[in-house]
Amino acid sequence: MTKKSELLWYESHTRQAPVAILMIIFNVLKSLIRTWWPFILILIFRSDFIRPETVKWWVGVITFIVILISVWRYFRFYFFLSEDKLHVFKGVFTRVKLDIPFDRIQSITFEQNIIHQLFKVARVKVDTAGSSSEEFEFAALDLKKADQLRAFILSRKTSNIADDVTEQKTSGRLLLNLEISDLLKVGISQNHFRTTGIVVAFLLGLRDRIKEALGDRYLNEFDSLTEQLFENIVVYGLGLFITILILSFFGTLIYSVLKYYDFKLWKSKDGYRMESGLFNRREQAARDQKIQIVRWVNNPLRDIFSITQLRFFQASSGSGSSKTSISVPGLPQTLMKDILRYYFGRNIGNIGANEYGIDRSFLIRRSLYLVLVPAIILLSVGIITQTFSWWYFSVFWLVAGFFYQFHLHRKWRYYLQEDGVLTVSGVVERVHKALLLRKVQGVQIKQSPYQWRNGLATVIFHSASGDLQIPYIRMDLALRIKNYTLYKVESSRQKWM
Amino acid sequence: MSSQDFFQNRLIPIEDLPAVESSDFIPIDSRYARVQYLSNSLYFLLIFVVISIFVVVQLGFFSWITYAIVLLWLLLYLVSLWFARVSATKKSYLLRWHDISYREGVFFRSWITIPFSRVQHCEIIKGLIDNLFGLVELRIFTAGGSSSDIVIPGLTPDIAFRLKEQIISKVIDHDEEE
Repeated sequence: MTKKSELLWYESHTRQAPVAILMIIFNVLKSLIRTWWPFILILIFRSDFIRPETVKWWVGVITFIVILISVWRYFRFYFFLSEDKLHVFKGVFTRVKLDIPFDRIQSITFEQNIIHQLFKVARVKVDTAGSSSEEFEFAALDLKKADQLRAFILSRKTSNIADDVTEQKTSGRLLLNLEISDLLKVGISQNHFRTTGIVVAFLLGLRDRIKEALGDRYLNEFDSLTEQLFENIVVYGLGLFITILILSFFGTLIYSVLKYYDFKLWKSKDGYRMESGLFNRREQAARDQKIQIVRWVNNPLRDIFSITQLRFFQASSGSGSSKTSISVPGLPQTLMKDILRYYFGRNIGNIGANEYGIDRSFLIRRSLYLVLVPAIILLSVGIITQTFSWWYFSVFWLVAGFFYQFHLHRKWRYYLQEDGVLTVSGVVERVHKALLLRKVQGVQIKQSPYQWRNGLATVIFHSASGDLQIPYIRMDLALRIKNYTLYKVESSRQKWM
Repeated sequence: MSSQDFFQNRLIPIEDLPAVESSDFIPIDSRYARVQYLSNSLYFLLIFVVISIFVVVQLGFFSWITYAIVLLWLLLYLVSLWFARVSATKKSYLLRWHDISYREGVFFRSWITIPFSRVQHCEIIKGLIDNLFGLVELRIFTAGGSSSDIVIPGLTPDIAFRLKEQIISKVIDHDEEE
């Protein structure tokens, strides 16, 4: 009991580590820039509002206010622990008092960026099962205090006592440790076409943003710049695409190395724990019981390296949010069998058995709506405007679209197991999803007019962390799957969340 | 016989499983159509006000476009009333020993079933227009996102309350068994 006097700090009002002021300043600046960036752009580009000699005064005043608010915010933020609750007081202009019962706390995670590491503090995130307004984080807590806080809260939780990251830290087997060479494979095998698409969409969106912020004068300059770029689109268009593709390639490569540097994944008796990051060291934990859906994505490049990208979806307040899902890049495909064995809790030798495809009308309907109708519209535009390029585009859409839909339908697979369901979809990128039937919390049958006229249906399995769908199957089969799933859920006595 | 004994035998032929489709669904209160009539009417009234302003300011009363717009408005209004009536008759629910089902949809049909053991909580909501017709809405929540929640509108308070009690008691039963 001599130790008790040392531990008592969290029973009285406690503030964060002083270095938290730095983080708060950073956060205030970030939110300032986020809300005022069009205004800031105007100030920079149309500086006739402010004369250069007064700029330093403005900067000084704003800096002073930001620091004042941050310091104020730091001193307003304090917390203490009672028998069964975490009490937090915060807020400068609107004061907030939070009482979080320990039982509601789902997880407590630590994060350290380079400043945190220097000052031996951690950002502590507290996740609750409820709405996002109840979630909050400590900007910086002394590492030792953070550990004590977590240990205290987890020891006082009446339910989910096993939800203990520190316990898993000591036990558990290192499943995966990615080295730089693995990370190169991960970076190379990302979907670069999607990134390229996002970049192109961003450039297009940028035009509107510039118009909003700066007016038409700068828009013309932007347009003439892009005109130069897009001039002779046939020659340069391809060049631009390849340039962005290459940029995205190296971008993702750097991103992967930064985010997943020294990635480690442990498997303990009842869950997983992972740690990764170069500047921003993150650690996350998931208990087997909390994992609802397992998803892994392959593509041809990953097949060459024989790796896969795996993601565990845990039960959360917002379904499928990235906060509560654990992502494992570059998992060797051979390890996937173990992961599935842990998830299903049995030997999964017969996982490929009971394979089914979906109905042909999936292909017919999608070809009609997504391929034929757009192609006809493109063709009519071509006929009305008398431009041949529209005709070519129409034919291209027709051929490529049908080819894609054909393979999408042909490669759609689902597997019905005694205790679970598996789906595999996608033409180039193959998305696998596995769901244990006892994790299902609702079964839905949906029918479009076409589907009910033709005795077809789409079955949706709802889980606490997202859905799994089987589209276009016979209605009688859908009903049987539904009844069987309900039977499995309702007769299951195992914990599911 | 406790509910635990129901599913002891693992090798049930799939045809013998208790099937949802063979049971009878209970339609919601027919007065719910009136709730929809009123709320649709208010909505279309708002649109009519906007159209009127537009007509006065821009078109004038005797333009053919005015007639066309008003005719289209009337047509859509009638269709919405018809749809309100039909969709209200399609909403129905079913309570079984272990789960609750809800069906809806005229063109795009949906039929969702939630086992009681997966229900997080229930609430009864009294809407403003619902209240005029003496109806309430029962909401059944599951964990995670909202995609698998059930909302049953057009229930009389008495039925909604009894449904809620029934579901809650089942949820507690399941919790105790674990």
